[in-house]
Amino acid sequence: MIQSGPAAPPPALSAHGITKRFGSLVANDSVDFDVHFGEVHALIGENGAGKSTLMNVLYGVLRPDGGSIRIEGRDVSFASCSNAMRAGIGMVFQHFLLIDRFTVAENVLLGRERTRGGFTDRAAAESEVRELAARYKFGLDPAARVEALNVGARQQVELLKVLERDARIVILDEPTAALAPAETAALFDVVRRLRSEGRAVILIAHKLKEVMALADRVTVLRRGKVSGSLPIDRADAATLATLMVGKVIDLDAREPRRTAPGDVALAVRDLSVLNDDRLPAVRGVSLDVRAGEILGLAGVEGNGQTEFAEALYGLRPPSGGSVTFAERDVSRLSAEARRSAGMRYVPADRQREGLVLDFDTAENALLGDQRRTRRGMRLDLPLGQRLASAIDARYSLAGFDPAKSAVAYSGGTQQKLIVGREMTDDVRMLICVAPTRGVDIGAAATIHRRLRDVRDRGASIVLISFDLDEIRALSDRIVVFSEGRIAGEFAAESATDAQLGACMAGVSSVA
Amino acid sequence: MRDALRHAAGPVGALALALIVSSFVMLAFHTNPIAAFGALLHGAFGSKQGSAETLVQTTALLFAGLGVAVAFRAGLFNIGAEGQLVAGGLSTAIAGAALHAPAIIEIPLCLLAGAIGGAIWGGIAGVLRARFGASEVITTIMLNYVAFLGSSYLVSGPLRGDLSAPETAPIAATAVMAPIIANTRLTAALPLAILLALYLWWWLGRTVAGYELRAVGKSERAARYAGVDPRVVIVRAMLMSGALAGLAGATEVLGLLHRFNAELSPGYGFTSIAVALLGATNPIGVIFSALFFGALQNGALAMQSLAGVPKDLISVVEGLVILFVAARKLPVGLMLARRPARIEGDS
Repeated sequence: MIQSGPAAPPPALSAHGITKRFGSLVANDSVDFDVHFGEVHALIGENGAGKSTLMNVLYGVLRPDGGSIRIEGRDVSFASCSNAMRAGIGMVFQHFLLIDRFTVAENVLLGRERTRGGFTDRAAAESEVRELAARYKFGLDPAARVEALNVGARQQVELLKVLERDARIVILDEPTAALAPAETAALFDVVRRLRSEGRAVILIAHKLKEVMALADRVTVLRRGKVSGSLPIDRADAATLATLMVGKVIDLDAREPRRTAPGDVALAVRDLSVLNDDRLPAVRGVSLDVRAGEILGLAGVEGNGQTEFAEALYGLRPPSGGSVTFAERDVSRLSAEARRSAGMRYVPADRQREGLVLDFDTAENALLGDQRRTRRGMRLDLPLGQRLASAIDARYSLAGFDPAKSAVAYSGGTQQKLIVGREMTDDVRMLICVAPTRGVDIGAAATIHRRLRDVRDRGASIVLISFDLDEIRALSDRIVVFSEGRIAGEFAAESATDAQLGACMAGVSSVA
Repeated sequence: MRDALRHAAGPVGALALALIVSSFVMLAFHTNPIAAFGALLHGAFGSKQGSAETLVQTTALLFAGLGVAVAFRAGLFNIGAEGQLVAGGLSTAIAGAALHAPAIIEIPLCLLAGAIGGAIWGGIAGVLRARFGASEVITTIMLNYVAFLGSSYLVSGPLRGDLSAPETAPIAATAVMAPIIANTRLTAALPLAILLALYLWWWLGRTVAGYELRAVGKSERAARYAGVDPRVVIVRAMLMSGALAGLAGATEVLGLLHRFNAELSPGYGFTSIAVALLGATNPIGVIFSALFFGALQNGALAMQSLAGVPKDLISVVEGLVILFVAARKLPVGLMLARRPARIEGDS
């Protein structure tokens, strides 16, 4: 099947002049895109640039208003994604489509169950999936239920779904957005393996570093149009960033502080917190954060950071220890009381926690401040509209409309909405989990600038991120979490990736 | 306005489908559906008496439907409106018989008693849900039985007011809500219910408490994030829901029966679930769907006598409406409510 030989074979997939409109919005404006077998072609662009629209067109989810799609040189037209699947296209979505209560094998073979005598053949299914998983070095137990798996493993299940159908063209939509560094490295190996097997891989990405490391070619979308397409050896991060946003951006650069940190504002002493299963998640953590200081909290996801954040904000009662904020013991205060005291929180789960997806944008802009801003018994909706517009002005929300439900925005835009709402001028303590996850580079730069700005105004910030570059670029101090404890503390200027990585993995705790 | 039309499209489509399917059912019985619905319409709106009676039924359905709708908005499925209606009716009957004050004081007090009776009945389920996580679906169904059998015991024994029938003593003359149109049974309860619907619409959409109730209904985690205690909201929603259903019972007692007995409700509390669903749990929508079901129930008798269609067929229509509203994701939904959401944006 793998094309080789002197005559240049037609691309595995090529799209010409794809145009897709939503009302007055032109999401794709005569976009050309192709990918060859044995190639990784990265597609990058800001939130709302039209990447997902293009992929949804290629995958048959959306019908284009114009343009044509060819597979190995033959014209095709997809009425639905099952047509696209049959044509050999497989897609791993950013938000996984798995059934939590089913096992790995059941999910992988969903709709193609192995049967014997009219009954599902569990043993055959599991051995088949085990074999497939082993081929890609996935440490998955086919009999495990998906609900028990972490994000990285769930993604492997999604990949297996695609590979089980032997998709020749694989689309990965921001595959690293939710992964820890080690998982990202493993995923990279898988992508390289797919390429060496002769598959065509389309990689939608936000992080330029990953694009540079993985892709053979890169195409940049900007406002629905291709702003550039070039082989990777002629690309560098600065060029790509410029193509994406029209100006030069370096996200990972540290910037000098304009102010010195003040007194200790947040004092955590021997804090212990239980997780949802009532098992210890945070075990006796003590730390201080000064006013005007960003404390970076690094660590592999699932080492108690989220529970720690929830305990700081008042969503999870501590099982021991205390939290003192502005010389006041807030350990027993509700989230509402802590918010009134100037604490704000950007949670990890933007879809279920940071927003009410069915509420409109203005209502979401008031979430958490609905009581503080009340007018008598009334909700201050005009204020919500003004706040939403202000967030749009600062972060440019793609497709912004104050009356639109939050569910209608893309993930990155939703994140901007939350970050914009939480990073107010009067915030005194900000707890931030993965603030730029899934956000485009331009908005990420805005968020970083804003974090520094809020810090310089004297706010204390606890930055929890699974992106070491982000932690290093922003933090004044770095603390590494491992198994619910502080495994090490580092000065941000001098910490190296190797030191932090070793500490995160629990290898050593040399400070 | 366009929004309102878009929101109405789903329920109206479900309604149309329900009527079409029931037409086929009638054809299967060799009756002319057009004649049958004509008779129904005539019975419901053909005369002053008929129209007033439709509105009488609408009133009870509206109160109870609002109750079910407000619980829905908080993410709660209150199946217990019938029991709450009974609890409210009984409380009002007891208050009305015991109190002897001028009407201007007596009637509001009796209504309040009914609201409190219903609120307690709904509140029990709310507390069980908030405190112990007991499903309100189960508890409200069971509380229905407790209300039916408990009230039946009370009017047969301790509260029996008349030896000839199992019912409470009549309410004081000053507690009676008189008809607002001569020679009909229509009382001021209808305008009261409409005012309540408008207030509830405003309350849900424009107040902080309404916002928080909706937030809990949509995402309990997001509500907690926003500093809302979902337990408080759940109990409050069930209190409100029960109070509204209780008012249905209260106005029945004060305006129609003047005492409590087994004839209080022909199942208003159950029909109100369909009313709330067809009204898309929007208080304004509930006004219209209550009117629709009121007309359906009141016109059913005329349909039976004039067109020879059994009035039980109306239950079929009700069932079909619920089915099609609940199955909005099925063909109707696909035709009427294609959602561009999710894809519209981009990442």
